[in-house]
Amino acid sequence: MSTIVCMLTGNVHLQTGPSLSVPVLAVEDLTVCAHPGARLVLDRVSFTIAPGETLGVVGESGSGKTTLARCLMRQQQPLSIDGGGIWFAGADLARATERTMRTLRGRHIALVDQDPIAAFDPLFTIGDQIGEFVTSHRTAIATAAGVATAEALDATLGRLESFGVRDAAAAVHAWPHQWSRGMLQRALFALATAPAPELLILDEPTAALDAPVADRLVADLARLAKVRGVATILITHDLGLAATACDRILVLRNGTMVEMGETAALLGNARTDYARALVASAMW
Amino acid sequence: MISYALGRVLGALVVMLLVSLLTFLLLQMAPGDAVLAIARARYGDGVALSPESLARIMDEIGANRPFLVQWGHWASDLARLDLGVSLIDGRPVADILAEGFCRTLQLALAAVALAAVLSIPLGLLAGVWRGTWFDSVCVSLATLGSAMPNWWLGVLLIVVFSVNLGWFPAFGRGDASHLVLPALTLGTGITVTTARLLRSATVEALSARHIAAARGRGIRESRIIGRHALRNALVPVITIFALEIAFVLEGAVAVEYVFGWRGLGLIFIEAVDARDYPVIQAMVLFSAILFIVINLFVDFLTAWLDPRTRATIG
Amino acid sequence: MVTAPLLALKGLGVSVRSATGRLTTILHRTSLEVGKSEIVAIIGPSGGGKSTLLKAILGIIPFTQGSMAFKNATIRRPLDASHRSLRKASEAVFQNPIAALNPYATLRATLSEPLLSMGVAPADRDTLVEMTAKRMGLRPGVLDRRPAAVSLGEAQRACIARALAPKPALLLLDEPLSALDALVAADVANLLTEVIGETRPTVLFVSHDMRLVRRLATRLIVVEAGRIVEDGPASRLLDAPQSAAARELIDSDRRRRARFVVEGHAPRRDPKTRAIV
Repeated sequence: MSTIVCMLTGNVHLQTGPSLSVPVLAVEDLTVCAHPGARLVLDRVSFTIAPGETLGVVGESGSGKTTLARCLMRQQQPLSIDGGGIWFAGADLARATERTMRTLRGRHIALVDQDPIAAFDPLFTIGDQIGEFVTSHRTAIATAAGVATAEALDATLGRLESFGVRDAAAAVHAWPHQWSRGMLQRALFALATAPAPELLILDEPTAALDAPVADRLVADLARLAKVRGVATILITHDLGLAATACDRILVLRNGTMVEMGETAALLGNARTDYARALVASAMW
Repeated sequence: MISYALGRVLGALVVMLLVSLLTFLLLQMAPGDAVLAIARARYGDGVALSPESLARIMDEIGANRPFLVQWGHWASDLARLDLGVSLIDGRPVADILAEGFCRTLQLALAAVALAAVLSIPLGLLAGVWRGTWFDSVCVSLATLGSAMPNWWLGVLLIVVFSVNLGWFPAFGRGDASHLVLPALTLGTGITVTTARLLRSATVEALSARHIAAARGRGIRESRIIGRHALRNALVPVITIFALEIAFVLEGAVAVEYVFGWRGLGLIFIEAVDARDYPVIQAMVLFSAILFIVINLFVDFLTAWLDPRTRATIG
Repeated sequence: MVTAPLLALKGLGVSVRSATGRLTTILHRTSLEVGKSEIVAIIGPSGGGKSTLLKAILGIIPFTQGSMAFKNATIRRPLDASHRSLRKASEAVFQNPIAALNPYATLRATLSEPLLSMGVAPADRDTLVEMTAKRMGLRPGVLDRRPAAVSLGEAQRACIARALAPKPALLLLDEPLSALDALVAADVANLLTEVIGETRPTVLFVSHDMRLVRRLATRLIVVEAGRIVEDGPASRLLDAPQSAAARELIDSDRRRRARFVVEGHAPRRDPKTRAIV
């Protein structure tokens, strides 16, 4: 138990003030391993993220960045969390029960998966799966959109259109395999943001998109996050993408934190050789 | 989709025609002289047979006409559902088959219903609760069930429920109580196979990324299991389950024998034993058609369950 | 152009029958001439037909309209005699290097293969392979491994080595960097630039990575919705793109670069020594 815990338990009093320093999420010495004795997948990773802030987590494949995303959702199985804490809304998610996590996922913490095709059940129409989501979070979606609960589905379809899905009401009658990866990716963005979660995790969200579209969408999300006070974690191997949207960047390598800093500072004068090499390799 | 369905049905018809030719051919070439067999059956084993009576029998069954003519006659009769008469007792084959099929259908329907009701929840839940005591019990029972011969289970049930407890009749047909033990015996076999398959299919389905994604979106667990996991798991299981249905519809010889339930299985065995060619031909043709129809049905069902197969076949 | 083009597309088009039986044109009648030693980048939004164009030239997707000419021999039908000679004279490098290599062959076997067909004596073969490996930046240890046991970057280097060994007249690259990590991609891009500079083949490559396009291309072709919407020298097109599709890509690349020089001295790699400066 540390200062971060105290800060979070004091959350209730502080929330009334306009403070931006109270983190939405505080990860403390998070350690994950595949099985006892094996190399650590994550080794004492710590960071905090404030409302409205966008944090980039940049690393190469095998750096542990997807594991980090799954830990925050507590979907890291079969890996186990060996130490450290994930403090969110006054509770340690590293020790939270599955029942607690079910009340948080989708509604308070949303994840946009890296493979949009794998994120939809191939046997049900997209509309069917959107309907399921809306049923699960009807009130939150309606409140976020400022409409009556009965109009939550329409609001969600409208969101899809604002993310670039044309004629959403008709298009969602299709099955996932009939949509392009890019379109599925946009639908995931729309769903994840619809209930206005406090924490939004984007895991390689733009692998299916062209660079201009990716930059624009991620920049839009970051802007939206700022306005609504959503804490956003952008996980990517693409430092160029992180650079366009993130306030701070955390560099991860083989499960350990190499460096963390303000975007401009990290790009301009990184302290470690690895981070400098990453910056150099991003823009040539 | 409609053109696909039409194409499949037409294809199935062609296969059926070929099957009819093949069964006819195979049986023509089968060892054992049908004429002699009929004569022996009619006049007794040790009796000296006159050439006249043999010639009469030959004429009767048309054995002296050319092969294609024989097949043509047989096929055109077949089209009118005239399957000829049994060489043994002279009854129309269609009647014999219809009677046997009614009995087999009764038994099969009861067994399949039992299997569906038991295996779907058991297989699904064992898969969902993998590694728990429930799963262990299910897997052990299923292993036991598949290791145990069907007829042995039948005998066991007779000993317990009719000899010792006297709850159900052990033998023959009559009211619904006669159906209980044979249906239970046959149903257990199907349940065991289907539940095991469904369990592993469920485990596989639950490990899919879209299930984790649905959980991540905060979809209720009951919905994830009852809709997404179940439907994904059923796709591979349906094919096997349908084949099981086909097998029991052809007649389960062992179970019919143990319970004295004279269905298609026993009729077939008796016909083979007596070289009753019209009955054998009709039976072989029936089982071929049954398999073709059930396969067709499975394809349509799979296409309905999985839209991706619809796209590739359209 | 004074000399005849190495490759000419004459109204080349590709239509495919979709699952519902409808005929869809994914590449509209395209005409294009590529001269010797040109390095042509094919850019544009995804799903626009970039890869289709490349695959139709290679014969991986059969073209359905028009014809091609390679070294003045007309290719009228997919995989006819002239098309086969184009395939013989060209080599390709794809996105996923592990999938592109024979999983049962060691990298050494893969690299010796073209030498074998060129009739190099067995004794010289090993020396040549080791020289090539060194040139490609492959550690000597990985030569005796199979694709599954090497990294993506090493596998892609091996693919490039294999492709360049027979000295192809035409080199086709389909997203050669997109499966690689940033550090590796930068190194492989360096390697590509160098070896293409040395052997001077005609290159057609598809990439969404504007860094590679800027680095490599002498000419840009912009493909959108199955049509070429712009075609011009790289120097002109990168500065003043006319089509919206090209402008999108180039602007986003500029914006990204702007972030990296905002502090004045973003670190760079020396293209020769590859050291960070």
